Parts: sequence; structure tokens; C-alpha cells
Amino acid sequence: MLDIERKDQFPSSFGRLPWLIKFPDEEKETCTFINFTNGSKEERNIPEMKGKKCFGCFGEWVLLIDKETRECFFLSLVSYSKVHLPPFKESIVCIEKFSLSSSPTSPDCIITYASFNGDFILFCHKHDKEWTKLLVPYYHDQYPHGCSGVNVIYNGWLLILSKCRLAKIFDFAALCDHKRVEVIPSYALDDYSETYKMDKYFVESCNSLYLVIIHKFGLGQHVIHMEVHQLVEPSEESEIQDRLYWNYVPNIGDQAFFLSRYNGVSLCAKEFGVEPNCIYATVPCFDGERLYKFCLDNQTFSFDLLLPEDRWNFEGPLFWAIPTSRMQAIEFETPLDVVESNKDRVIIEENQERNQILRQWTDLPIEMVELLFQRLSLVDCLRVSTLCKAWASTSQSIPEENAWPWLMHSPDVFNGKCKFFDPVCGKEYSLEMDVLFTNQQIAFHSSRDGWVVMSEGDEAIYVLNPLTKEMIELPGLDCPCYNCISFTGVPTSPDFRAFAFYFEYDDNDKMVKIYSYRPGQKELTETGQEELTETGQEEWTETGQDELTETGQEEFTETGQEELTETDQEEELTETGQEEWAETILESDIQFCGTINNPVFFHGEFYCLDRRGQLGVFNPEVVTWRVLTKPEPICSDVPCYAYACCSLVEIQGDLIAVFRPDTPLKPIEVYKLDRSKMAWSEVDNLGDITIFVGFRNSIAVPSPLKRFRNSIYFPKFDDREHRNGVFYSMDDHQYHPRFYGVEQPTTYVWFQPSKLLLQKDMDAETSSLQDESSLKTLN
Amino acid sequence: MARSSTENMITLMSSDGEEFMVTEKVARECTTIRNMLEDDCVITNIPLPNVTSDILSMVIEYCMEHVAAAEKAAAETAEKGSSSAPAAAKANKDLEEWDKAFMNVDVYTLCDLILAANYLNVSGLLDLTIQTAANLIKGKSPEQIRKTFHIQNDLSLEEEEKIRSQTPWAFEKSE
Repeated sequence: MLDIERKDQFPSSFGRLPWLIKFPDEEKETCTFINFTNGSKEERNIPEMKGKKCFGCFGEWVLLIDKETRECFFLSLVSYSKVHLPPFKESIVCIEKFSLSSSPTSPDCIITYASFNGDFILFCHKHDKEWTKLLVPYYHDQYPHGCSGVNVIYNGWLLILSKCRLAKIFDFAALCDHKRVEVIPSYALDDYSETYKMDKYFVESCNSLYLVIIHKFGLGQHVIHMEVHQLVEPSEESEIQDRLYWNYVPNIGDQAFFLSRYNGVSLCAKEFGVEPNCIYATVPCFDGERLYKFCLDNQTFSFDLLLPEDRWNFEGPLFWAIPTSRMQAIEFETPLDVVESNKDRVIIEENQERNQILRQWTDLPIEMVELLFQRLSLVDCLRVSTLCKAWASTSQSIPEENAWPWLMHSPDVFNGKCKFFDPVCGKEYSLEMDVLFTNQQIAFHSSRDGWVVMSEGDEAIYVLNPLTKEMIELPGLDCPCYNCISFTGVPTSPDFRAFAFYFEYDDNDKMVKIYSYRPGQKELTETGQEELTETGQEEWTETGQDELTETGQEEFTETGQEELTETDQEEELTETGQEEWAETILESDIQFCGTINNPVFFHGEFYCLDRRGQLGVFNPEVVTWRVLTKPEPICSDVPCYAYACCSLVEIQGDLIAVFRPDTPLKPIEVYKLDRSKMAWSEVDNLGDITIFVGFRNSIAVPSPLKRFRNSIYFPKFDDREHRNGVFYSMDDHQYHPRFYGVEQPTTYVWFQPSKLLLQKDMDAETSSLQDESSLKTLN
Repeated sequence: MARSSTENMITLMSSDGEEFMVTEKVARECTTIRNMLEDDCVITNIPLPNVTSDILSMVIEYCMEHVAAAEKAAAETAEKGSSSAPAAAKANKDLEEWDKAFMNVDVYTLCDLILAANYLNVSGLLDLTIQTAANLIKGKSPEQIRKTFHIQNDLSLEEEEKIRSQTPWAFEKSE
């Protein structure tokens, strides 16, 4: 041991702020201390860590295993004292985790280890000679996913997570006696596939156990979503819930969570001067180790690059060193509240006296107002048309182009609020949405003609018109069993049809499952052509629905299934008396690596883009699926890691594919389908087109304002000065204002209000009575 | 193509009878006048009954500035054989700054300038004035827009409510 003031080995604010530590590795002998608030780094030499690998950090204690001797011990980051454990002989895949029942200094401390993919755990008390192996029957037939290695000892229970969201909870003492006592029903949700991953973290906070799940999509493992669940112990009176269950929670109050591959810690945010109700997580990515910050207050997240050199290091080189009571010499520094100044400036002050007759703005000819409208957003135009009598009819002149897509997100769904962010103008509108009032997690899936498909909880699905606040409930569909949902027709009309797509990720990727739904009674004719019967149309009303669905369902399943559709026998989700989604399994000879992006409804068929650039076409009329041999894939090798996401959009009769790498170092690639040759041709310049891309839905429109032409908008915003849109310009191939450090809502959909506006006008003309009655319900 | 220095002068007459002598080149910035000149090349005196003297003087000021900027750029190109990109960018920026300062007017003048730019068909000025007006409207509530432009609300409550009820969401509070 070196004879030095050990205290100097730590950065000055160590012990007062959470710090990230990167362990010595083959390339570097020193530890890197990273200040997460500004990314600054300091190198320190800690001889005890040399040749060791870190497998967890618990308060001041770091669990180290010697790579050679397998010596296993806890090292205190405060006193440098050690607590020895039996040597750890098991070979370790990098992603397994250890957990402790209490501090290593406590005499009854138990350390557990769950093997990745295995069916056993190891545990020891700190003075044991060796680790004890215990078979754990979590490798259940029903859930053939294997163990994720994530485990925690909490309240006398051992919780182990499978690779999906399934958590098994055992009474630990009983388990040690070789009795299997499960205390929680399996909380199961299928993992999508190899291309859909969930990182799970246990966090103990304020005497509760939390499960944080970070959803990642694609071979690039792009973070798309995050959710927090709290383990709930039912009260004694409760009879229905007699077991533990996970409860989705929208926020974590004044706590902040810090997650790394090796630990998940909760801190009282105020005490340490960090932002409350936030989750910080280190995530290995294509461009290096990133720090993600999830802000639960407004349901957004952002990321910064911490270690650009550590590309995709799944050993997760970083862990959080979190201050503990013993480490502290804490001076509380509450961060200064950032007071946002209201930047509304009135440029033109007062009416200057003029001796001429004043020319009134309201005298402007309509052509001038139209010119004005070309430079205003839809909302601004609509406001202008309520200013005075002379301009009252100008709403008819609002160009269709002004209704460009808005980013619909719901930072505050629990209060029934929804936000619409106009990325072009940098304006955000807030809408009260009582229909959205829910205590469940919601997700937006797709939008079309002013309607949005959203899901609530794990299976409820709705089609919502956010502007008229109409909402239609569809039969439930278990969320992970589909990649994307789209529809045709107007949701309120009988010819509405919804389709959910699921692309199999088996070895060959040749299967597609399609769930289809249409309201009302229907018959399948022998040729497979579906026709709406008269009665079905009439009875697709709220009153007649119950009796109708029963008969409709029977007829549907009896007559026309044959090779077309096949009811999923395992589908137990729909309640009795409701209609169901009809499941169809279709195959193609050609491999199709489907993603979660929305298909494009084009010439009566759904076009799906796979991540290599191949097109799959679903014909809803004859119920066929074909993967086109042409166009040929853009990138031929399947693991195309650079592509975090691809989108397909239709504009002016053209299909355009956008491939977005998850790094600012590579350009975005845009291809247009040359339909005469059926080949993709790369596009350097979008011209007067603006594309709004997202993981699920993407929309291309004629550029709303000239200066926004030739750009690709992201579902992100920059909040530095005031909320601004984030886009990629095809002129300079740069992200504006930047790639890193911008906010992104956790759930969103691009929403285009255009068609609805026209529809509303038509409604007003044809049936003003109806319009007024619907208004009453709104107010 | 350098023009001869002895250029034709054109007289423009405002609605209130004031006369403005300008070079033909400046006058040609107004497409309306250019068309007149091309139809009738001997014309030297043009009455503009729709434009007052103070507004006309501003339009002429705008045209002169833009003609001067274009001539300067052309001269530099001729001198160096090719225009240097940074210099051109700077010149552009200077002109933008000038435009910005030029637009520091009250809303009544702005309205007159829009009408004059439209009537005289000065596309650059029309663009500039419309954009300036759009910037004043952006993100404001109807009440704020009325205040900015001194617009009297002559709609009855019912009428206003009816228009708003078509798209109630457009009138909810923005942030």
C-alpha cells in the first residue's frame, strides 16, 4: 500500500456528488473519475484496483474480483479497507450482477450472484469458505428466455429477472432450504427479439423497490423509452391482490436515480444538488459510452457522450460512486433556480401620430393576407382569422402546407394534458385531454388524417382524434405482439380497418403476423373478399355493439377462415362480448428484417421497409404478403449496426427511405424509389421537401417555410434558450443545433392536423347542428 | 455589362404630387415600372396615384440600396475575375442588416409599404415587409395581435366564438 494521503486521490467534490468511475483496463492503469455534470475527467492511480475487475458498487464499497487469482473482496472507497469473500471461481459473462442484503460490514450480509442464461444462483456470507450453488427454477418452459442475471435481495426476498420483464420472486430463506416459494405471480411480457432489448435495473429508494426498464431498439440498440415500476405490497385488507405486484409509476418524486451496468442507486436530489425526479443511466452505444438523462417531470430524455473511445463496450466500464453518509462532508448547495425570463418583446411600440388617413391592416387585400399566411403556422393563421370581420373568412385561404406535422407528446398524461410541439416555429401548444386521463403508461403508435393510434397499459388500444377529442376503443392487443399499427378509412366510419404488424425474428425472418380489425358485422365470401353487410353498417353504433359483436364474431370465425386467417387460440386478452383482432400468418420466400416503423399506405397496399432497405407489401383486400425482390436491399449485410432506424415515407407519389445512423459522424442516407427501374437511388438534396422522422411514424411534407427546405426534423427539442426544433440539414449534413444533449419525449407521434381541418370545415357546412352538439360535449 | 454613366433619369410622382428623380436602373427595380418602360421606352414621367410621398421615398431608398449593393458585387467580380465567397457573404450580411434596420417602422408604415411593394411589384421589398409582419404575428394570442396592429375587434362575441369553435385547440394557451 502506498504511503500517501489517500484523500488526495479523489477529486475535490468526491463524496459530495455522484461521480462516475471507469476502472483500469488493458489500455490504462489508472482509474478515470468523471464528473457527470460537465463531463470533465480526472485520472487517479488506485493500486488496489490493478488487475481486478469491478462487479458492483454498493455505497462506498466496490466489489472486485482478481482476473487471475479470482480473489474476491469489497474495497472501501473511503478507508481502503477490504472485506474478503470466498474466491469466485465461476466464469463470468460481463453482464451478470451481484447483489447484497446489507452493508458488507454487517455480520449477516449475504451476497448473491445470478448467472446469465443459467438456472442457478450463487450466494455466500462474507466469512464463508466458498460460494453456495442453488438451483433456481426460473428457467420455466413458459418463459424460455433465460435469466438476465439481474437480481436483488430485498426484504428477505430474492428477485431475479429473466431477459424479458418477467421477475420471479422467492422467499430467500425458503430457497436456501431448497424449497421453492414464489411470492409473486410471473410478471411476464415477451421480449420482442434480438433487436428489441430491455435493460433492467433494480433500485431501492425510500423503503421501496423500483424496477427501471430502458427499452432499446435495433441492432444499434438505440434507447427509445424508459419506464419505472414500483413493487407494491398489498395492504392486509386487500383481498383481490394478495400478492406482490409491480405498479407503473409516473415519477420518483424528489429522488434521483443513478444507473450503471453495476449499480442502481437512489439519492435525495435536493441534498446533493442534482435535479430531482430524474434518472441518469450510462448506456454503451455505437458512438461510445453515453450518459442518458431521463426527466420524468416532462417525460423527456437526452444524452451526452461520455467516453467516445469506448464504443459499444458492453462490459459497461463505468459505475457510479455515490456518496454515503460516511463519505460526506456535505455542504448543501442548492442550485440556483433558473428563472426563465419572458422573452416576448414588442418590437413596434406605440402608434406614431400621422397626419394622413391611417391605412388599416384590415384593408389589406386577401392576396396580401395569403402571402402572410405562407409564413405563418397553422395556429397563427387561425388566430389571424378571428381578429375582425374583414378577416373572418380568411381561414378558407390557409394553405394546406401550413398544417405541417407537430410532435404530439404527453409529459403530463396523468393530468390529462397533451402537448403539441411545432418544431418549425419552436412553439408548443398544450391541450386538455380528459380522454387521456389515465394512471397507466401510454404509447403513441401512428397517425393518419388527424387520428392517432395509442395504447394504454399493456393491451388497451385507442384511436384518438386529439383536436376533436373523439376517441374510439379497439379490442385489446397485447402490446409486444405487434411492431406497428396502422389503419385505413376514417375511424368513425364503417370502412375503418386497423392492422397490426408483427415481424417474426426467427432465424429466417420470413414470417409476418398481421392482426386485422374492422368494426361491425362482416362476412367473408368464398373468394376471401370481405364485404360489409348492411346491418353491420347500421349497427356499428354504441348501442348495438354488444349484441352485434357476438354474432359478428361467430360468423367471422366460422365462414371464412380457411387459409386466410387463423384465430390465435392463446389470445386470451379480449374480454367477452368484444370483438377481436383476427390473426393471419403470412410467409414469404424472402427474408424480411422488419422494424417498428410504420408502413406506408400506398396505392391500396401497405408498404413496409426493413432495415436493409427491402420492401414488403401487404395487400389488405386479398390478404397477401410479398417481399419484393426489387428494389434490392441498400445494405446487403443484415447486421447493419450503423443504422439506428429507418423510415419510409410517401410524398407526391414517391416512396422515400431514410436511414439514420445513431451518430453525428455518419451522414443520414436518403433514397428515393425509382419506380420505373424499381431500384433505390440515393438522394443528395430533398429540395422543397421536409421530412419529420421518428422511430414509429414519419411524415414527409412540402417544405412549410422556405428556410426549412431540404431538412429532416427529429422528434427532439433543444431547450437551451427556448424550445427549438432539432433538424438535420441535407445542405451541410449537420445536425442543428446539435446531435448530443437535446431533449426527446419518451413517447411521441408526429401528428398532422391538415386533413382534419378540412374535414371540420366540411362538417360545419353540411351539418352545423351536429357540430354544435359535439361542441357541447367538448366544453 | 456596365451601363453608360449617363443614365436615363425617370421622374416618379407620388399621390400627393411630390416628384422623385431616380435613375432608370433604380426605377426598374419596380417590376410595374419596368413593364411600363418596356412598353413605352420614351416615358420619363410616371404618376403613382396609389403611393404617398413618404412611402414612395422609402421604396426608392430601398431600391437604391439594393441596386448599389448589386453594383458593388458586380464590380468586385469584374475586378477579381471571380467573386470571393467570404466577401460575398459579408456583403449579403451587410444588406440583411440594412434591411433589418430599414424595417424599424411602425405598423402603419409597414402596412403602407406592403401595399406599395405589391402595387409597384418590388419582390424583395414585398418579401421583407410580409416577413416582418409575419414575425409580429407569430406566437401571439389574437388579443396581442390586435394590440400590435391596432385592429378593432368588430366581431360580436357570438361571431368570434363561432369562428373559434371551428378549431378550439388553436386558441388554447400556448407555452
